[in-house]
Amino acid sequence: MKVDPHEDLDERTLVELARADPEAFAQLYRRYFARVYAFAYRRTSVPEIAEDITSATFERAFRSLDTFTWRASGFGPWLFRITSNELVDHYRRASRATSDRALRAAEALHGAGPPDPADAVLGRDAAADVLAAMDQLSPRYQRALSLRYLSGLTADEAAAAMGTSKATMAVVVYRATRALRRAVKAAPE
Amino acid sequence: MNDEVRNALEDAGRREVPEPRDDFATGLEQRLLTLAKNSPPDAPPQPARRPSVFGLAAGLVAVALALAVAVTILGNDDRSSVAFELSDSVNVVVVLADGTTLVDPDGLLLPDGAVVQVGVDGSARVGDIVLTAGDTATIVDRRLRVDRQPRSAVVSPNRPTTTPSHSTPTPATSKEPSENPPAPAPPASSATPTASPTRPTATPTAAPDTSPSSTPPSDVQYLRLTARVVGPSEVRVTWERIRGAHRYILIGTRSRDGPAATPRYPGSWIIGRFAKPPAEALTFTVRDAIVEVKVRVIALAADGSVLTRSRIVTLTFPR
Repeated sequence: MKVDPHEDLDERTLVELARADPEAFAQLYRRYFARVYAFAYRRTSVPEIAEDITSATFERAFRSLDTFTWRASGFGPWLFRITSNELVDHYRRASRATSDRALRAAEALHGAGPPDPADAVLGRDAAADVLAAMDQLSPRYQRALSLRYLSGLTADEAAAAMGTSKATMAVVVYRATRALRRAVKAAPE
Repeated sequence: MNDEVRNALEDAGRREVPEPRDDFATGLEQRLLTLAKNSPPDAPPQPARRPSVFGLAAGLVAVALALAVAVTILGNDDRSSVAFELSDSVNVVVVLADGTTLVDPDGLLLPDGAVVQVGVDGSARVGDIVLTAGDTATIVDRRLRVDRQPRSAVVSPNRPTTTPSHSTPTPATSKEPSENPPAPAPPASSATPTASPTRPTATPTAAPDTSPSSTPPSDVQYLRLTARVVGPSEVRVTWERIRGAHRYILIGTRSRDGPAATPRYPGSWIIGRFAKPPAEALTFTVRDAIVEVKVRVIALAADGSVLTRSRIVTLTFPR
């Protein structure tokens, strides 16, 4: 049976090795893949987009590994910060590319087919409305809310991912939640 | 007050997440390994000092890369990240960023993150660059990196092994590179459906679309798409050239249970963007759990408007 020599290494050693050893990076990937994908999926509800975000996260992480400085919070918060940035970028691009008018034109061209499963989910619950309104927020607020609520990180880890203290993070999350409530109210029915 | 919003966020954070596709997970890992081997991480601000763990092996790798890797920057003819057209491909496998695997996808516009592997007796062109057996080309940050392997190290790329007709490398003599391949007719194997052990099916589900497009009604062109299942998880596709088409977008939808949704452009999974129809049928893979796939090709004019669309072909995989 093939044994991965990196499997038992602690995370700090693994990160150091990963700067030069692709197999060590692959081990980090295996440890975090499911969590990163879950984070991206919870934010987007679309498997294909979650896959894109996951790919982009690990590619960027690999390319930026030399800029990573080890901290007590570990590798995870740094990686999730990349994911949250990718999510913000995704929604920024999506809002540029897909205006309401373009959507209507596409609908007219293609007709209304059976809805995607993601559409069905989005149409059903309050959480979906809240997520849909999130991309109206500033990038900082989007990052704070997604890291705090959707990433699966603890409050401490989420603060580390934001690069703030826990107290500052709490304030940012409070303000972001308030802004999100306004965005939900302002959203068309 | 904020409680409702917070509760909704907490609900979203507890939402069940479907298992990611196995082939996506493994495909991404393979791609990252390839990227890592072909392009080391970005250098820190002071690149003169490399981490000591690089050692002798890394030094050798760097020298080998300097000698063997040709980095070519080609012009970008599109607003998107698509810039490089694959042509004259023989025994070539392309793995896209999302893990989608395409076999001999002539005309494919390689997006960022795509990895092209040329197998035994294989060859291909990316723009003006000729790839030969054993070469690996990677699109990184809109640049083409070509890793030329020593001839003795040439191995067949990891093609999908579940397709009898594609697991055998295409003989080099089966297709002479051509600057202007003729408009492809479906190959004999595609035109005459053959019985498959699993008896998958392909069903056209819609007539050619005649809804509003930028083409005048008198000049309606039908984009003929042929798609069929050729293995437990593989689909072979070909379509015909359309006058005035600048791009072809192959789109699809997948379902693990029941009918797949109607493919829409924009919005649906983009399997690939092509400058021209593949000279021969291309093959792409879907994950094992998929029971139905719908595919369609959209022809775009130079201004990006939809010129015409093919019918939708539904492919089912008995599981």
